[in-house]
Amino acid sequence: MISNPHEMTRSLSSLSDDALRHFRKDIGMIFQNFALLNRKTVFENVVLPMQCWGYSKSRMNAIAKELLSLVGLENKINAYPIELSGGQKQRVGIARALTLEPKILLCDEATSSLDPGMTQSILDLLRNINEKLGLTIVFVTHEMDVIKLICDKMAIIAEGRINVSGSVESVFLQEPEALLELVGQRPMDIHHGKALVRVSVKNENIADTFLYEMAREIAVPFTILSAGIERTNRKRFGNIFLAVPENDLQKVLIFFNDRKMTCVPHNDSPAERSIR
Amino acid sequence: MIHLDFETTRLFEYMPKIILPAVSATVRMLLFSMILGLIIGTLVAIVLVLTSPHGLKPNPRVYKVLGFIVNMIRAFPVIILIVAISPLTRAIVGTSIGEKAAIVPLTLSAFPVIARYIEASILEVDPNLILAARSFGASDRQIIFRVLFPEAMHSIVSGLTTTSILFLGATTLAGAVGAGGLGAVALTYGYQWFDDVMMYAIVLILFVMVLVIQGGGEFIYRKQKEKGGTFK
Repeated sequence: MISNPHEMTRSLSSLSDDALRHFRKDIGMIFQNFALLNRKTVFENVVLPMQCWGYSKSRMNAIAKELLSLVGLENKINAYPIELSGGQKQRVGIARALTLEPKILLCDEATSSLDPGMTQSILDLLRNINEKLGLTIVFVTHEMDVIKLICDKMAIIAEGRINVSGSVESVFLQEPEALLELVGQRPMDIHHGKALVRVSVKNENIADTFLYEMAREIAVPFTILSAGIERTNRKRFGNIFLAVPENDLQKVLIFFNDRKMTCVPHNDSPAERSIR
Repeated sequence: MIHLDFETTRLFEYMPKIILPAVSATVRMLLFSMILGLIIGTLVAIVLVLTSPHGLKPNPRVYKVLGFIVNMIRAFPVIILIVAISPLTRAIVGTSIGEKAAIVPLTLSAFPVIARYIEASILEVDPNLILAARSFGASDRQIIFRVLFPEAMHSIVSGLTTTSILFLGATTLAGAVGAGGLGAVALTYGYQWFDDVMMYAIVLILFVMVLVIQGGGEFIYRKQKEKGGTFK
């Protein structure tokens, strides 16, 4: 997501106070609890960063007006934060974060205190900003739906380390351990003599009739144990878990391999999965 | 039993030449000691806020030493402070008695109170605001003056109101040791001359002054608070 990763490899602790201030100027940030000054109006909140950097009055005015109309709050310029809804407060936060024309917008659990409708409208706004201003957005969240809705790439961080990273589609399709730990795991019941396989359906296969074809071509009696199609901002994808007779397993794997689809045996025994 | 003898009181006779000048002396003492106390108190509060363990520039040594000094001065009753620092007072204003001299100990005992009030008010400000201000590259100075003080102002104002009323009492105390003002008049012309009318009249004047300070403080407080919209 970061446009030029090499730029980011500087060690922050080695920067002087002043250099650090300039570095921070390039990163806009929005917060879970909005972090607005309650005693200042929407307008005053938005111009605050520019005041700190000594912008001229007319320039501050122009930028603030432009950003407030971008986030849809042009009629709330003189309101105080207490008069605004959570979603509106976050819009003020977004406008404030964009005033210094940052290269990255860092969203720290920015929708975690909002209801689903508000979350959706904030995410739409962020996506719009991402496309309009060509700005990288880094979204820290524990809400999986938010990731699917807005993100292109994702990384899972546990105990201070990046465990998994990749495109949203690939991470959700591969279901790495770290992801399962995060979302909680579903136990899967499987009968004796059956093998469990995971078929990953990518966006390009979504309209295919592979199950019908599998039944017809290799005549394997299968059961669908679980299937879910995720919908992200641009793509649809999902995993289908099939139970097939153990002695047909190879046939099934070859069938999907021929079709260039990912199909792997799912080895976790149901007992193990449900205990964890 | 309070017996008010309006026949023999010199209240009306003394009103223009003694009481009114005493009112203005008290107001002057209070005003100057509060202004000076506010200036010094603000500076001390800024250092305390900056150097506190969770502050912008944590420095345990400075924080502890300054906190210790502030607490120590607060432990001195005003009347003791007035006599205890008389050499210092003489060095600063040239005399250790009178109105000017009273301002020194009053200021000295007011600034720690004010500093603590300001410090407490600032500590109440949502720490996320500091995080937000840092995120757009605000300097420590900008964080203090553009974020912390504006957000804490209503609470500081209410603290200052309480302090002013507290120190109105202290100025009358200073009157007892030669500073003049309403305290001295109530004591000398009222209490010692057995003129109860005079004494209670001065208490009444002080009461009105308390009301004025409290009313003024509340007015400014509400103005500040209204900005946040919570009073609507």
